Amino acid sequence: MENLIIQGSEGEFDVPSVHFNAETGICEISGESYLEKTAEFYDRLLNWIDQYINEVGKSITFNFKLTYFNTSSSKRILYIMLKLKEYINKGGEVTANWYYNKADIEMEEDIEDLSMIAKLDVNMIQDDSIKFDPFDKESTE
Amino acid sequence: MDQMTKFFRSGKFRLIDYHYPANYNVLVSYKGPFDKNVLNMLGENIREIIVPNSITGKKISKIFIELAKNIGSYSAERIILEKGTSGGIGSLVLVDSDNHYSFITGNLTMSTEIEPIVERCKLINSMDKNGLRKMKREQLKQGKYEREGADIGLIQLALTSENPLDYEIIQVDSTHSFFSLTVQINK
Repeated sequence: MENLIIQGSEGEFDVPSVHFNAETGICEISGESYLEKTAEFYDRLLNWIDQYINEVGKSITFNFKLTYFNTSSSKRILYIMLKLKEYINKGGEVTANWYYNKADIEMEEDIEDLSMIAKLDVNMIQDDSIKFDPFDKESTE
Repeated sequence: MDQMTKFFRSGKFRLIDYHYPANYNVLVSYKGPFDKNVLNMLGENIREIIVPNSITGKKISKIFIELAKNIGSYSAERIILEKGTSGGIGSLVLVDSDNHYSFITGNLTMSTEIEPIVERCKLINSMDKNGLRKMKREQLKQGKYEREGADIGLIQLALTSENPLDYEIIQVDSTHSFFSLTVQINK
């Protein structure tokens, strides 16, 4: 099966970058998630995970590296976590990691809340290379 | 909407009163459709004014996105944009005070939709942070897959701003009310 690669963008809306690898089972979503059509975007990701589970059926390492997501996106991120949990319940092997800047208290709370609803163990990893304020475009260039 | 005219004052419009309202330091003000181009432009303006890479700065950006998205999605006053999509019309002002910033937003709403919004604001304002997080989790759990939004925007505004939601409702005519929401961010 093919990898899913989406190059993120900033501008009118902020599209996260996606690298889902069907050979290694390593899936990464990074950047900012603030989309015009949130459900449509995340459906592609959810469908890919479904296909991977059905056709490949190996382990998944899911690395969340989002620096910002709006409330509409948070609902879709929850659906990813629920899908990973469902895979675990069916015997799938899943490692979920969330990399975030330690200054981002709200992000830490969001990760806790989403993983709590999904009943998914998420390794919360503090990482200084993750931006605290993605809206501050100039200092990151 | 003829009765709305009663809100319009007669006499000369003095732009300076709008540009420099007495006692307020207005950083940004905008009235019009909240479509994606406007969101982008206003967002950039706001980020140039506030301190970058600060907790307050990030809070302001997050709050702006939710407020602007709410107006665009829910305002009862709409304009048809390209490709048949419609954008909600509303107002947004960012005021700089000694100890805090305030976003003041407003848009027309069907009067029948006011009661649930007010009830929700009251409930949100009665809760502490843990209560709000619990409410947000419950709402996310109950969310319908088909629905685009998560319906947690108001809760998120209260959580991010760490302040109560200050709202005002002014009946405009028999079917419409003007819903104004102020969100304060401490410096």
